Amino acid sequence: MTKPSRTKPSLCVGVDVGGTFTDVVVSDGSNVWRAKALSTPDDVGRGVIDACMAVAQQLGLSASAMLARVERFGLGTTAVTNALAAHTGLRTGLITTRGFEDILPLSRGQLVREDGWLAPPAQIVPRERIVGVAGRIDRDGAETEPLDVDEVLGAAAHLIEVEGVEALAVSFLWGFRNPAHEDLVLSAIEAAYPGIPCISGARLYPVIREYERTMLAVLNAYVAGAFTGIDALTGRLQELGCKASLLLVHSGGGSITVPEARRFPIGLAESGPAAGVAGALAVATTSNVGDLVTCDMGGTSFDVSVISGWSPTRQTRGDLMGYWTPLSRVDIESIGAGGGSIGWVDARGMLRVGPHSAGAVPGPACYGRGGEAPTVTDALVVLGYIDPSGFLGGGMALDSELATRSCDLLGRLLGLDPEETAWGIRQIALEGMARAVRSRLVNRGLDPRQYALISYGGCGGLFTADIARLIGSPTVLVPALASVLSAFGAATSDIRRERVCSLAVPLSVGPAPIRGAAEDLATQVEDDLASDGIAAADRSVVVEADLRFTNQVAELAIRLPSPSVDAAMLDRVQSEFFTEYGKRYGSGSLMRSVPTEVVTLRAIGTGRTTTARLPQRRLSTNRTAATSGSRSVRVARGAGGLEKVDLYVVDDLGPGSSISGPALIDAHDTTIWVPAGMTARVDRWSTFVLEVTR
Amino acid sequence: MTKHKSATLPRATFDPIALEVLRNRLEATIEEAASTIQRTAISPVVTEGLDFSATLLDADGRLICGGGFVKYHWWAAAHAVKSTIARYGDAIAPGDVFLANDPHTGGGLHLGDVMVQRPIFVGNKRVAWAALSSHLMDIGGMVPGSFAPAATECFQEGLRIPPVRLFRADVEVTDVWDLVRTNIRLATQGEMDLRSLVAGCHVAQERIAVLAESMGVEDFAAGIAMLLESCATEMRRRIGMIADGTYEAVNWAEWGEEFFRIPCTLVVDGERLVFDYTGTAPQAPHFFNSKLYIIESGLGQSIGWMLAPDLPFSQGLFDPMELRCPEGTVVSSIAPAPVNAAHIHVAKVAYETGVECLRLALAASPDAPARQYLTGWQAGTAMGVSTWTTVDGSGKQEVFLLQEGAKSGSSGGVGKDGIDLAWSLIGADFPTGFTDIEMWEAWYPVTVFEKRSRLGPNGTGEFRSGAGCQMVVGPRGVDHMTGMMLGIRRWLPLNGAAGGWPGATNEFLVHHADGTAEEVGAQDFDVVVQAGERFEVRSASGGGFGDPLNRDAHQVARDVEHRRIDRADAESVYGVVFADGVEPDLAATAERRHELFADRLHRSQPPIRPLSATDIKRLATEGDPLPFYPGVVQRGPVAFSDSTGAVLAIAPDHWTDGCRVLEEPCDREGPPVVIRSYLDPVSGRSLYVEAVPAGEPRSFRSSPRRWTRQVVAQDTDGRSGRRPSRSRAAGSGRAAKGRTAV
Repeated sequence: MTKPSRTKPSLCVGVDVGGTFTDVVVSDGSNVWRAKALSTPDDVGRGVIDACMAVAQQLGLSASAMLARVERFGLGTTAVTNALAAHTGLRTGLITTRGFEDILPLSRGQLVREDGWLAPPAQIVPRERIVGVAGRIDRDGAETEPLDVDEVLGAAAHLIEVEGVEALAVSFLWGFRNPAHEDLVLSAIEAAYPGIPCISGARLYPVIREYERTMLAVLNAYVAGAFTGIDALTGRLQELGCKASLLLVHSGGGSITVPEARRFPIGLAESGPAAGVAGALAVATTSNVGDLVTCDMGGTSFDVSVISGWSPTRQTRGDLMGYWTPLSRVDIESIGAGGGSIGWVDARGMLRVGPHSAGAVPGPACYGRGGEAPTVTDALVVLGYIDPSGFLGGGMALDSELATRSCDLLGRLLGLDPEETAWGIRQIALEGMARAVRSRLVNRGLDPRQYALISYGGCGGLFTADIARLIGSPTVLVPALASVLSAFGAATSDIRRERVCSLAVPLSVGPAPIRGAAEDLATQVEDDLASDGIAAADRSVVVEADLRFTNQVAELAIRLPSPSVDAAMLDRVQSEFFTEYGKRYGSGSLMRSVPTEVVTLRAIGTGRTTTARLPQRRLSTNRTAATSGSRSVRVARGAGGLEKVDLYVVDDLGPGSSISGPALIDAHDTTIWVPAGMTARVDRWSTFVLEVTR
Repeated sequence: MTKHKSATLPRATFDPIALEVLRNRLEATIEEAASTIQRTAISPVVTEGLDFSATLLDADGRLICGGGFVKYHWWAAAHAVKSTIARYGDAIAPGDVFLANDPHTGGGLHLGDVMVQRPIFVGNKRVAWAALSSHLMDIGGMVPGSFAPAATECFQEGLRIPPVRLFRADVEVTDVWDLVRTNIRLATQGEMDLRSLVAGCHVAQERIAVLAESMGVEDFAAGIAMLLESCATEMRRRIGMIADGTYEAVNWAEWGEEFFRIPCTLVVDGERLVFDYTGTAPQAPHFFNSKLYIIESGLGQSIGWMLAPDLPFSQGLFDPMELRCPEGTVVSSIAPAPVNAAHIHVAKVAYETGVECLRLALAASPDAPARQYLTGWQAGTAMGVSTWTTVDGSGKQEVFLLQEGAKSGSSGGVGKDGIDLAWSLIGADFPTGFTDIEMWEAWYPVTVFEKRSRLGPNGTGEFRSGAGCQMVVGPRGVDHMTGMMLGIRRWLPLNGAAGGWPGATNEFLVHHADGTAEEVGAQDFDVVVQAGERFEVRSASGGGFGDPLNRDAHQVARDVEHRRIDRADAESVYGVVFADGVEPDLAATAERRHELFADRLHRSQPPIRPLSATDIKRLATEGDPLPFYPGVVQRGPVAFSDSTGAVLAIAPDHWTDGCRVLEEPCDREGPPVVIRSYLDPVSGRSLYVEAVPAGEPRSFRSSPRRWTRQVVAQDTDGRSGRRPSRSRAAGSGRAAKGRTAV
């Protein structure tokens, strides 16, 4: 066991609280330790402390001795995600502009459910908890009808006393342009009902488009109670001697402090996946790869996101767990393909895989927990990719006979033998994932041949090389921390603060109004960072402008060189917009005669923090990789498709090791498949780099 | 239509794995082509309205799969490619790209929906076609935007383009581009959008050619044929579970105050569906005329959605289906009939009438799983959009679409209330985006005063319809705004099902500054709304499902609580009585409902063929009941009401013959329409409710073969069991009465 270095005593801890497991990663700059504990959904903190105790043991320390040395404690949490998914948020009411009370209940787009019916939109605030009041602000921010505070108080009384709401949101048309009416409501409610949280859409997220701004305010009110577990954890960590204040990973892939998270809890909705992307970026950066697709394959889903130029692709408008919001976040797409995805035969007699998943219970047939349907995991066992005795580092034995039987049952419907059926399940799952990765890139006009893939999560390592070959991607990275990358991400992401302001003015309006807004935003974000305790030297703030051609829907974010906008800068911004637009949509699509509009300004503040690092090791140029045996693996269909491939164990490999496919690498709780024609080498940060053999 | 070919294919090469992989790659490719359009087109109707599609077809123009957002286009694409093949035959060469838009000679859904088609070659072998379509904002003609309700001939509507080459062997045919550019408004934008379709075609060509080459062109073709056949085989199997017989429905398109009769007879025969529109009104000099392939496209989309939501939408869905539309009628017009609303007016009435025939068939089919999808009429077939023009002080013109009028509320269905604003402008399963009020007010010189789910009962039933959109707008900073209504279903509402009442119709109003309001016709143009005035659209809804007097009283109370209806509606329409508070008084409600049922029976006409006790006694009524229609069952040669056991008819008479009939006029101005309900003669419960122009007979007929073939033994007074029905059938081709136009 590696002892923590004595010269660098401070530690960085990252924790990712998942649905089943709570992962922890600890780094002292030269070494990394990791551990897992069962998640405790009823009391998040308990699982976190359990994980900390487990990892402290590896460091040879008590939990409090370890925590006393922690300089940074980062957490990715599903607390808010769960409140949204399980509909356990506060009973929330909405006060809005009269005549528009129905807008929120009318969702954006309906879902066609599996049974063929259109699903009515999920209702976080049913119609009876929405009250409209008189008062209008027009598009220039001028009041055209006054607000009647007594009417507002009447509405609040109805919502609180009759409807029993526990939290309120207020959002009026054009409130972001002039928040006076919403401010009046906030102060009236605070005076009359001090115990009821009240969220103003205009104050929370002042952007144009009433539906999504209102939705975000409502969601923020709804999850305001999801925070009790975090508060309790903060207390426990302090009791145990942890001096570092807790940092939480938000959906934007950066960290925020607990007070900021309490103000804006909905920002944590995609905390875990965003932490994974942050971890992936940290790994890719060490390997000097800046253009990549992150591929996170878990039990039920395959999550994909694109990083271009060392910067995760972001999304500012879109579906957040079924709700359409303007939340700025890392753009992650999830498709229903994971280790638990079930193979089935459709009405035409074709083999299909997913989106149904066996989940953790009953799980794949080979888990022996009563699952009978063949899953991707079962197929991998039958085909020889997964060693049933060595699953999860030997922590869980799989029953290969049950796996074979499940494939046999399905195969009878198809006229295929169990091995062919298993091959089909793997192949069709692979096609689906390749399609998702490829479309993620080409739909943005990006060339898959210029993008690497980075693989993490459960059984991703068995697929990613084949996905890369299917889409023409040259390189695959599999980090040493593949199975705990989200926890690592929580230990590495810097503080990130954002503020937005809707402008909706033509670029031709000139520098003065844009400069005014940009400087205000930059100052506010600077203050935010200061209040997070970030020293001036560690603070940096950039301002972006979301631009588009007038009347378009899609916007492009262009970075301003500084908030002090002048005429020359606007010219540069204009030409950069044309260049970017041409790059993305084809230069033939440019119509320079159409005015360019500045829709939104966004200030992004980064606060440098102490972060975990991947340990770097000396590269041995002449290291031979010793096999630890071989295994029979099906690499093609039909007779002759079964091949003996070399088996390697990660502990026998080190920086500089190079392995030619076909080979399997057992890397503790994940396995990496290196197909024929590809070579895997281990780089200085213990990352496996798979490339087509030259 | 194309019949399936028997598969003489090298089956050994393919199996359920390889075919599924192939399907995945074909679909991924066409989605990539579609995303190319979205990225490279520039007009808001494409980038924002998402009115575009990409379709992949085999070498002969058979539909493989599609991408993009408008499924309605896909079958039109198949038609376009077949028309191009028919015109150019062997002269089609690698690198050719064709353009067509004219429905009379091979275009898309209407003149605006241009079809850019590229044959995909491997070497000199044509292996497939890509056909891409998007809605050009303008295609020339007498008005900006090219929707011209005043047009009487297709020549006035815009540039008519038969299949012509945009590229010949990869070389641009500049003459054609010049011709197009010269004849359309917004020419730069139009050209860019056209080029985006060409770009998407190139993506499809490159990817498909590589795939076909890697598989070998023979195997590629064989694999596709097997994919299509696997879908057709399953489709035939599902049709085979529908009860054989003849099912008829009739409905009417409207123009001004005229009705145009559109009857459909569906024959279900084994594994085939034949929809026959014989008896349809002759074509008329209005832009609503349609074409067979457009109705087939709408019908295929709806049927696919009911019978095969899990199957790939492909040729296989269309193979077992046939349409018969007599030429020279509004459902199969010929030039010079104007056709620029060919997809949104007559077509919607026609295909939905065909879908009603299928619903009648499914209702009588105990074995068909699709019977679970019984609903009232699809609300996507009502629409009330309007386009508006403003000119500001500096002379700047704005043209914009009030698409919220297309957001009708869906019909109720088995066990489910309809959904508010649930139906799209085009296509049943993709609702086009909602406009943000702040964006709308920022872009256009208008103020929005109100936008809500339409108040009032809409389509009532045990399961009610959703509500359409109710929106009020007015000019801001301009003297006035001028509108053109593109509405249908102003007078005749969409029907419900199973005794649910028909829905609300589209209504357009101008509110004057003095507080008075004026109705606007659904096809009016030059509608002027002055500063200080307001325009209101109340969009339609589908109908309810089941008798409204059977609606759960607590659900009615919830609708009151949600302010969808008021207590007066609750009592008069649903018979729900409230005591204090929000909970219904169940005892008083039962009493009130009893009175309402009795009142219905009191006001209704007696059955046209009452049955005596002796009639019933002599008939064997053993055996399991078979469903006839929701609430109606067949036992041997007798049709009963399911809830009361009342005998309704003896085969082969129509089951409604024993119903009491309540006919109530629609209480409003305009051409008279009646709501007619067929009641259980014992309880007064509604079994089928129809809206028809006054004077029209029953608008539907359900004749499963197992019913019409029942032979009833000769009885003592000499009446034979096989006798011609005296009841009036729909779709019999007899001339309509009253104010109908036929």
